[in-house]
Amino acid sequence: MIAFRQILLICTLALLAICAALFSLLSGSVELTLADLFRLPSATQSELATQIIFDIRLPRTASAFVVGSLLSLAGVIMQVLLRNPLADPYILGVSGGAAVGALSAILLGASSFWLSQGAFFGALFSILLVFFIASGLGRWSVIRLLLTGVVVSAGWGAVINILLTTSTENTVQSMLFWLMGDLSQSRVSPIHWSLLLAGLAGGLFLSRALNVLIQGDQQALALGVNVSALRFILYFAASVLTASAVIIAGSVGFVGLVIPHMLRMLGARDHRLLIPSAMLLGGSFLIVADSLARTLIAPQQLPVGVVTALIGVPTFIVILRKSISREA
Amino acid sequence: MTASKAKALMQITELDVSIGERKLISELNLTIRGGESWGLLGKNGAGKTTLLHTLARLRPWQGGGIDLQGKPINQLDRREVALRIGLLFQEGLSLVTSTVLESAMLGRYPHQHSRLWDDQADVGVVKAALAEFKLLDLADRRIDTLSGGELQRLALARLVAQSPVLFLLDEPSNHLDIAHQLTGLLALRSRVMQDQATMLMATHDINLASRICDHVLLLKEDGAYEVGAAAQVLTENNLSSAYDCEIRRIDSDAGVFFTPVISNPTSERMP
Repeated sequence: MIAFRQILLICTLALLAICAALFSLLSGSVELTLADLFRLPSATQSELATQIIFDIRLPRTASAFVVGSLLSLAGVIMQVLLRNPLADPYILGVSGGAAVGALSAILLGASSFWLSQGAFFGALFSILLVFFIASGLGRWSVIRLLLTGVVVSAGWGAVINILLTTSTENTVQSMLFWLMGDLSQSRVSPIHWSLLLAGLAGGLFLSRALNVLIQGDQQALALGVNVSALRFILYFAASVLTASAVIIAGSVGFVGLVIPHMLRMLGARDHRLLIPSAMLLGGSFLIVADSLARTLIAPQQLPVGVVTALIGVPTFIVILRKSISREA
Repeated sequence: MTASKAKALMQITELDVSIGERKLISELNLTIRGGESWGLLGKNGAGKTTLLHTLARLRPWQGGGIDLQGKPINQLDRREVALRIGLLFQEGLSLVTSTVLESAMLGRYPHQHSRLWDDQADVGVVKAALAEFKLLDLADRRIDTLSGGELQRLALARLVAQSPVLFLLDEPSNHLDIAHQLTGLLALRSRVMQDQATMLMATHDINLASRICDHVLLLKEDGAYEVGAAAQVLTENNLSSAYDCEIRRIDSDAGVFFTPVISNPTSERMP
């Protein structure tokens, strides 16, 4: 009975992801129909339509799905790790570090290759910095990790502001797009897909332990979870997933915060169900948000992070109100 | 002698436990065997909870050793310990949203940690445990809608589902009404005895301990203790000195009872 409901949820979400992908492939300034899409590989299709689909829309849809999935999984993990419902993938400063790296690259007028390298090293530096500050002072506890992360994050925020205020108008525009999250330049490679699958497999393998860990450290220890080792793994896993998403698309907000909560509200509290569901829903959500981002005020494009926030904020408020009224 | 030694479930030798500067347990020697039912008594702050947590390997100790089925407990994998020792926490279950059945299933974690799907056998064990504590009808209820007593019974059911050989119980009668205290704990004891397992129960209720337990460990001031058969340890003298208060024994046709008397509130007995 329970298993049936779980399979139903996964199937619904998978269907949703397919619909979201089709919606994304069909929306844009050049009108295409579903029929065009299915006739695509044949020779009768115009060169242009093929190009638009395979070179522009499909890669972008794929990036949106991967980024949304990675962020949702990272969000689920962070919320368990910090035992804090308001934790999101960026709370421990990974995105701040990546942003400083990427913005520095933009400032130096570097190519997009160096931009992602900059983001990579910035994120890596921040992950290690937070880890060593939090653990170097002795036993690392949740609260110490959280405080360190938040403080480091605030520090990155200050550096970002310095970079923004000292840059020329032209570079500020692309910096802002990066900061708000933007998929127009992103491409995902097989490496990203493998990371996604590895995240799913690892997440499922640890899902039972996550169910126990969320009960509290003492309870988890008593049930045989090696809590400190698990926290260590979770911290680095969530950081790597977040860093990858940020390197692909900048700091796309709200996906990692809202998606796990939405699913918990729908009854997916068991991490064996929550992890795959969050990855599917997060991916679909970002595909739709990105489609809107590039069509709402076409021909101009909005950064996708703006759209996720525009959808995410009211959704989150509704969820919050619902959960409060349920508790009452 | 050798036969009973082979059956030792937990062997505690020269155990020292302190918190900061305060010495709670000093040179404790204790052998716990299968099929025994232990009471752990002592006044507030005597170290009952700390001792239980130490025995469950949740905290380090300062000296001596704890062997579980012949092996030093700190050389065992955490999961191996959880397969053998179950701990009921004094503060009860955390109220992370879930249903009664989901919450009880967590007790099976040490048995199924790397399996993705629930075995039918696991579900059977959990449902039987819920039935033992009259919770089966509530299986699909959210745990934040349960009463304090129902939550405590759920915690006991989860512990039974864990199926350890040593049940460490911290104030198991918390939140239970006077009838459930006795029926619940007697049910737990018969279950424990049936499996040749052992329970060690920390409690403030001397009368409950004297009805449920065959052995008692009574913690006193400065790490001192009394240990032995319940009837030998539970005397007016021992209890009065451990609790710093005059305690009298009352024999009635319903059994033996202990009650504190305040004859001279200012008098202070030294242990």
